[in-house]
Amino acid sequence: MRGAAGSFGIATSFTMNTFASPLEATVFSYNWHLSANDAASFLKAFQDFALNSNVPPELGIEIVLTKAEVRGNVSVGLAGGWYAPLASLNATLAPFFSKVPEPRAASFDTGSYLHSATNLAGGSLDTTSAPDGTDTFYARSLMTPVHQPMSAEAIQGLMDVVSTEGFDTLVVCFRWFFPLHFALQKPFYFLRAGSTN
Amino acid sequence: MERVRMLELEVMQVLFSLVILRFGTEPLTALGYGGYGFTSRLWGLTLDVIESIELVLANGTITTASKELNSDLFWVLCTSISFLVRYSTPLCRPCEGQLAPLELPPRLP
Repeated sequence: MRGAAGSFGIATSFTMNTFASPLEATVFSYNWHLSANDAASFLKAFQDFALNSNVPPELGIEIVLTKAEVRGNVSVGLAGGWYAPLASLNATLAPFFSKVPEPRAASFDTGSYLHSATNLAGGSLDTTSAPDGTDTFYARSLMTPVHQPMSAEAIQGLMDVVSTEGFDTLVVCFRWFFPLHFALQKPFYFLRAGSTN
Repeated sequence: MERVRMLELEVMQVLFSLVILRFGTEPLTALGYGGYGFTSRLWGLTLDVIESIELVLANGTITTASKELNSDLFWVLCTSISFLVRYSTPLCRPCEGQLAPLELPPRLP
């Protein structure tokens, strides 16, 4: 029990609540290559979608900004999990997709919940053969309250930096999570920036 | 090596055939962020589903922490959950057979 909890002790077991498994789950992703200006419009549309649409809780989704091939552009990924029948995913995303360009790529992987977990774990849930690997990276998490969303200026500024300084440096990834609605008095967005080798 | 991949989920190896435990989004941080993932809007954070924790205190006492029992300790544990899971072998190695201790990760920054 190191770090924040000091030297209180060593945890030896956990008792946890579980949930009924969804009948079907889909892991999906889309990708765009956008100019900084278009990427800003994209993120604004995502924020509006989060704020104004009655999005069902079965949708977990995030935007991932990574380095583009061309300076001044941004590679924008939209990735998520849909824990309901696939047939209803398009209608759920329609309010957002009507505001953004056609994606250049898309992928869907539909199956059982365990199948989705395996997908997101990178292909295997078996961790009995070896300990997890380790890595060194820098990350910072910012939370944006829903009642005070990012301004257009802030969004544009973010994309300007990501498309230029982000292109020139090792900063490789910004992740913009969909707002949390559960169990929180004030839902928030979750923006995470990471830099790695 | 691109560590912050688009679709990574850390896995808590507590799997059952019909019931499941939700997952986080980073494989290396275990319950870092408290276990936030694509199912969080549906089921909440991973730390939200922890009902109790058995632990060995620094003086050798084996005890249990929950909302009702040693609630102050439970609060401390859940608020530092990302540290907690890193050093808890059983959660990472729940399968039968050898429970080889995890190699300790490098010192946290």
